[in-house]
Amino acid sequence: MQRSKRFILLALAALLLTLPLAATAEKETDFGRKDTVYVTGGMWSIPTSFNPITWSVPAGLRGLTYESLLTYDALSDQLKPWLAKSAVWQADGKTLRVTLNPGTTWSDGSPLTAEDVAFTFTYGAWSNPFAGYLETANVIDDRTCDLVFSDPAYHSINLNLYIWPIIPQKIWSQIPAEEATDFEPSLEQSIGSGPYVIEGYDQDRVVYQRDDDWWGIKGLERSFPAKRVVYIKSMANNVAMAMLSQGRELDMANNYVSGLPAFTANNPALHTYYKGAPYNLPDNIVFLMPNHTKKPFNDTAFRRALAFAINTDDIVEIAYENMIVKPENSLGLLPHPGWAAYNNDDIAKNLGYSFNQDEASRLLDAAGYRDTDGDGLREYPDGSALSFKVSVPYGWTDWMDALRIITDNFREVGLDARPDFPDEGRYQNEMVKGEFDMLLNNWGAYRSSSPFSLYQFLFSTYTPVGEDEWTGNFGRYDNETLRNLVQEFNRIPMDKTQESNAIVRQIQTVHMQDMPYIPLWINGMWFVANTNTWTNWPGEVGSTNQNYPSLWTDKLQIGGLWMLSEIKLK
Amino acid sequence: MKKYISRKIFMYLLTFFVAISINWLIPRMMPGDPILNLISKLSRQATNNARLYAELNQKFGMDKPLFSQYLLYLKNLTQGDLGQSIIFYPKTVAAIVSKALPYSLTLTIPAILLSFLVGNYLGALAARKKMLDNTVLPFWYVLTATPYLWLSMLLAWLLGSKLNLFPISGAYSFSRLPSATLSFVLDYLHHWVLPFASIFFVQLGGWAIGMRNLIIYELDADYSKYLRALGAPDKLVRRYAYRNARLPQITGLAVQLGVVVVGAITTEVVFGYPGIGLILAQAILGQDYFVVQGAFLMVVLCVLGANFFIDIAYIFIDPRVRHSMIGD
Repeated sequence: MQRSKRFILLALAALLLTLPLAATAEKETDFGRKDTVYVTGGMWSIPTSFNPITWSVPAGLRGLTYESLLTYDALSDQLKPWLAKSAVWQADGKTLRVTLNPGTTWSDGSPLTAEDVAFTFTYGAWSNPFAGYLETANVIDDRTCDLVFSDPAYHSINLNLYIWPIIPQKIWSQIPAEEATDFEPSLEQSIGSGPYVIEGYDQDRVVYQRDDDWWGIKGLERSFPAKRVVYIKSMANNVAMAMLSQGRELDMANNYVSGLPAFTANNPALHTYYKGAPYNLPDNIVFLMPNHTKKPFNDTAFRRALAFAINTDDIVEIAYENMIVKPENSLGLLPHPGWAAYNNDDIAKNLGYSFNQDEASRLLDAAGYRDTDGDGLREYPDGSALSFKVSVPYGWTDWMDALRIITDNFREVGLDARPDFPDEGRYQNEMVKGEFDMLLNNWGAYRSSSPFSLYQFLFSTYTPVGEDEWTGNFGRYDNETLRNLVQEFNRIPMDKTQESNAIVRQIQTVHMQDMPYIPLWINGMWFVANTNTWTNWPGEVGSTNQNYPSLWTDKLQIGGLWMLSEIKLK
Repeated sequence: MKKYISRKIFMYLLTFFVAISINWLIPRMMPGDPILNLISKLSRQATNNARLYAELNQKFGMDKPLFSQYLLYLKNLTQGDLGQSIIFYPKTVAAIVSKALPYSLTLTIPAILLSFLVGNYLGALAARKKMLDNTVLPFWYVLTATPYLWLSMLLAWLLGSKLNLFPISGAYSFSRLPSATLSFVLDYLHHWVLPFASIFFVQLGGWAIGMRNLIIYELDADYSKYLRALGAPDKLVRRYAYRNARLPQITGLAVQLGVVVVGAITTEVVFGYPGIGLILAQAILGQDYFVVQGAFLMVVLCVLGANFFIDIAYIFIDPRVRHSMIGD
């Protein structure tokens, strides 16, 4: 008995000792270091299904494997060809003529034709962004397809032209449309047209391998230097940073990292878009959303007072260590060329707000919210106690820090505001059902080709409490005029900016006067890269890679793809 | 013998039934609606979420009254249908759990067995070597009192980040996919060491202390004194003492199995090791009833199975149990 025990002990010791030796020795890896780019930040959960038209799309699938008709350069506000050479509105204003580039093929070699385009946009209801307002899709010839809209919502359509993946008719026509979002294509069925194919995956990674027969090598005169792209599931901050500074198995991270300024200062191999503050490009706007069905948030004067009470500088400097920027003005628009034409500064100046605690107090006093019992906190005009909570999901540490600053600001003007950190599930439930007091949210406020996406998010829907709101107006702000204005905006062609701005000015005027939702800060497009293996990242000195540095789902199509094709080996 | 075993089986089945019922009930006591979570992922694309909610609600059986859901759960269980995941939709729970289980087992089984064997051996050694006893025993106390989470993080930081000896994330390197090669096996082991060590060392302390105390007690017992008085060699006395001391340790093993599951969960979360623990942590945060049920079911099965196995092993190890049954 004892001898075998001793043997086990010795074997164990031997094993433990040899392992570090095995590790430090020349490791034979399957993927060459110089052939592979490792990225993280865009994949939050295990890859569930390689279905490009369902939700929970594994990061990289749309863009690397499946392609959209066009791409959008989110830095210069230009639509660029991809699968399609052009997508032009015809004289009748309802027909969009899509012309494909020559030579487009699927990864199995078969041609990608206008039939596939027509199929993609007429397939099913859940799985089709144009369901409801596309009348027909006419295939003119191999390369040309006319999309005829019964109701041309130009801005929404534009968005989907560069986001929505084209799927192969020969595979998907065999799947009934009702089952489309459930369908789990096998690797053999995952036939896309993109520069990469899915090589393999596991719970914490997806490995894409370059398709050297990709049509775009000739058709777009573009190629991708990395033979493999490995998407790693988002991991704990410290682990990501440790791996990133080693640079052996991580080249780039698109997730928020607290302490980044200090980290990059100590490590010259790390690169952020801007060398100093704000380090990141602006990506989306975070709004404070009061619940209009609850007192005192149904009082416009109260809401306006809140806007004056918030010290955004503190949020930028303290909560975010200067990794973000605050909005340029009260309108809260993203500082981005695509939205510049709609940044009506005069409206912001005349009707907007700024950080001014005295003004906030004055407004609250004037509206009747005074401290009648001398406890330092204001009450309702009728004397009853006033108290509310503001929610952000637990675990979103930067938002949690920002929220504490906001509630402190509110307390400074005498409001009994408490920060609340429900777990994500409860936060979402309360938001969708309209059961919260006040919360922070940015779901639809991201960088896009026009601020229609923002106003659609904020003002286009109304769902009474008791039903579920999914698009954005979670606070149930009921303004039918505004809803109609947003729909009107959508129906004006993209190039008629003067006409649409006239509508947007009306929207913004109401926004400022009513202050239903308050823009707080502008989240950054988190991006940090290790330059030891791959270089020529966007933002580097002398870099030719002027593209939006994000590999998140649906941000590949606004710059990430271009970025991947232009990085170079050191 | 038959009566013993059949009684045992009955008790285990009863325990299993109660366990899976509680298993079913607990996630449903969490506030919140998991279907809403699922739909929120769809929200930016589909236009008719209200209808989708109704469809998904029906598909997952959430629209039925609670008792019907319970019966449906039991019925599906008998058919081996663990349902469909919500947060990993459309993957089935069985697919997710079966993929994660091997990772958890390769972590916990060696850790339990080796810590048991090595711990008992070291404990027995300390019981008769005074010098060892004085120096190493306090260390074992520290080990057994160490939380798994803390030791995991300590090992990850020291041996992983600082000294760069071991990787701190994943089950195998990101620069490869699984293959039937030696280098993959070495890579897998390389990633396995730290999580294994976190569980191993904490458990080791407990066994060593337990064995040490038991051996000292046995060496002081009447029969040991009698054997020594008869002139039996030390080795013989120690061997008999060991056999007797082993029994309470094996009982302890059955109890420890439940504890080690919890330890494995925190270890897996720290190291991002894709086992049941990590899946469970994600499922709880995501309010995925079905994955939580499936994962807990695995845990219940493993713990009860191991306990049953130990109960049967007792028949062979403990002659008193054997004789009492024959006497029955």
